[in-house]
Amino acid sequence: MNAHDEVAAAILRAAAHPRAELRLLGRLNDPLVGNGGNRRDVFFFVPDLHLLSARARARYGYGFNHEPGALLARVLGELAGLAESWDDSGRHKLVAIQLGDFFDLWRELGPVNPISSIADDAHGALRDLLYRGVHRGRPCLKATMLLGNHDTQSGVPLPEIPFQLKAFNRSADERPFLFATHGDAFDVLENVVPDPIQEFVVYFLGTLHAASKYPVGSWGGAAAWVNRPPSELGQAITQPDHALATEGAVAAAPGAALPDRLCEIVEPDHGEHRFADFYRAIGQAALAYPSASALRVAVCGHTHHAALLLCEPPAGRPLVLLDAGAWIERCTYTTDDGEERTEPSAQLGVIHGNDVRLYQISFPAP
Amino acid sequence: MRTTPPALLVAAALAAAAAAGCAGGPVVAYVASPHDRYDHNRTRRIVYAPAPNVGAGPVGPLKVRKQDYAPQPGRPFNGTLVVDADAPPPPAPLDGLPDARLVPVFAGLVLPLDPSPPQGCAPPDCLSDRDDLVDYLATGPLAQAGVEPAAAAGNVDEARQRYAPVLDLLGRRDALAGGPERLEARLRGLDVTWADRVVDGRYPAAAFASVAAFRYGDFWFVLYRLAGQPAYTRLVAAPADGHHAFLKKKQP
Repeated sequence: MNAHDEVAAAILRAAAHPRAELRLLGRLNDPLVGNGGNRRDVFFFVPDLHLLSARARARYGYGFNHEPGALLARVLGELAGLAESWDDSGRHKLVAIQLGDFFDLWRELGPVNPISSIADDAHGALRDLLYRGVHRGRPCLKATMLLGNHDTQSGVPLPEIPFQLKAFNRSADERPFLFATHGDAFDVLENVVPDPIQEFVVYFLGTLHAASKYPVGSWGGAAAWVNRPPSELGQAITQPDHALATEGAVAAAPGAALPDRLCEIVEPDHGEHRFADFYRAIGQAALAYPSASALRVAVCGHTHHAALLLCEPPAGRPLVLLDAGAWIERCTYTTDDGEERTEPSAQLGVIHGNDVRLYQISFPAP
Repeated sequence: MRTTPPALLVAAALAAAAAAGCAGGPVVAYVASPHDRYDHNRTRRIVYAPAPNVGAGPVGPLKVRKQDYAPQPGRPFNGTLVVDADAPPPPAPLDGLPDARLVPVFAGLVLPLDPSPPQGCAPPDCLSDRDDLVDYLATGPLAQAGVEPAAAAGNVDEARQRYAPVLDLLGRRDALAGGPERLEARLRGLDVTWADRVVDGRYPAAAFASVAAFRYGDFWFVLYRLAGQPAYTRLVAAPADGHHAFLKKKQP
């Protein structure tokens, strides 16, 4: 089995249900991904979770999918075991990245409850498996945790979480192919600077040496313009259902024949998923900074709308945008035999070599 | 902190703050927990050689990982602590936890910064002290990456450019010579905040001839000079203000 097959097998083992499936929502298996020389790293992306307590969940009618059966915890547990076996054998290294909005602290705490009211065991299994278990002698993916706009209260995240704002793959020549961020940056920048694209280039992708006018410490200052006030959070769920573009979602069992290209072909000015903004920003950064010259894949969350977008203009640089979706709300997609399915979103992204995949765990309702 | 002994510095800083009508109090640099602070090249291998009567631990070069600082037993620092080898062994604890865990306490990165990777080990497995420090700075002040590099990198090129003036100073023996005043003079013109006091639980402040700490970007850079040494010889970097200032306005 190759690395992708091993990951798929681990996910299906975790699902542990005869009718559970791993549906391929997107795939690009192509050298333009630019990661052909790296056979060691297996990138695994966990999108927005918006973890809430039962109380907050009942209040807002909103929350993390498949919580009763602990499906994601079982998946992460299997993957932690796989990662450990890979570490022992030296065959691969699992690089897990949670793309932000891990907790939904806005809804959970509101403006009044202190962050210390988050109990140590609140979603403890997921916290252990992603980042905390390493300190507690438990299986742990040691995930890179990206900061999302729902991860702080009054600017303060849960202190135990090792947040980063952005992440790149490690590359020997310091020219990464992969860039990951939560995806709310443009929302914020549009409200605070006249040229959000240039600001993103400088701040997220550039070297800051000539333009450090926008220090990290003040980055989130305008989020108040973007985020809704707590009193409106009950109505802030603007899209409980996401009609995904995927048609022909095949079951991705290990060894199954999969299409090399199952992705949405877009133009550089494509408006969904902030694609045009990512495309312009990464293109500008690639011209200005050697360290951004090889970027081909951007990974984000934030929209809760899973998608794999490919832009390959004849005279321009290609870009793949993997929006890894979410584990909240519902999604609709069409399978390879023409069945239209609507089910709780439970999406994951995986990249190995030049093979980018976007999965939906299709789990039968109880 | 710019001069030693530290007590004098604190007094001077408090007096200056009072004279200026400053209500904020002295500027304090906290040398944070092992997970937050950067005090050694994380890619360098260390040698662990347990005493023969401690038990069979791995002997030889190894890297320190996050779990080595966890309270639960785990390799490689899982030997039994024997204070008196001739005494009868203590009763097994009912809760299953060991009475003590021995973990490394690093004295800080050696200065001036070494730009070469460790002998016999090349990138990306091993990085020079300078490059590993850059890697740590690139992951940002919240990453808790002091013990082990994050699996995914931050913007290394950005960090290298952003912290270039400080990295340059830390790499030059002549620039590290002398006292804190000379250090301050060499960093004049940069957006640097000097600490009036350094809180470092690892050592008593009086153990050093001079401890100087300045904030640049998102981090404190704490430099240590031992008595009899002509220059600062150790560095610890630590997040400045931790979680509170980093994204203080990111709120609904």
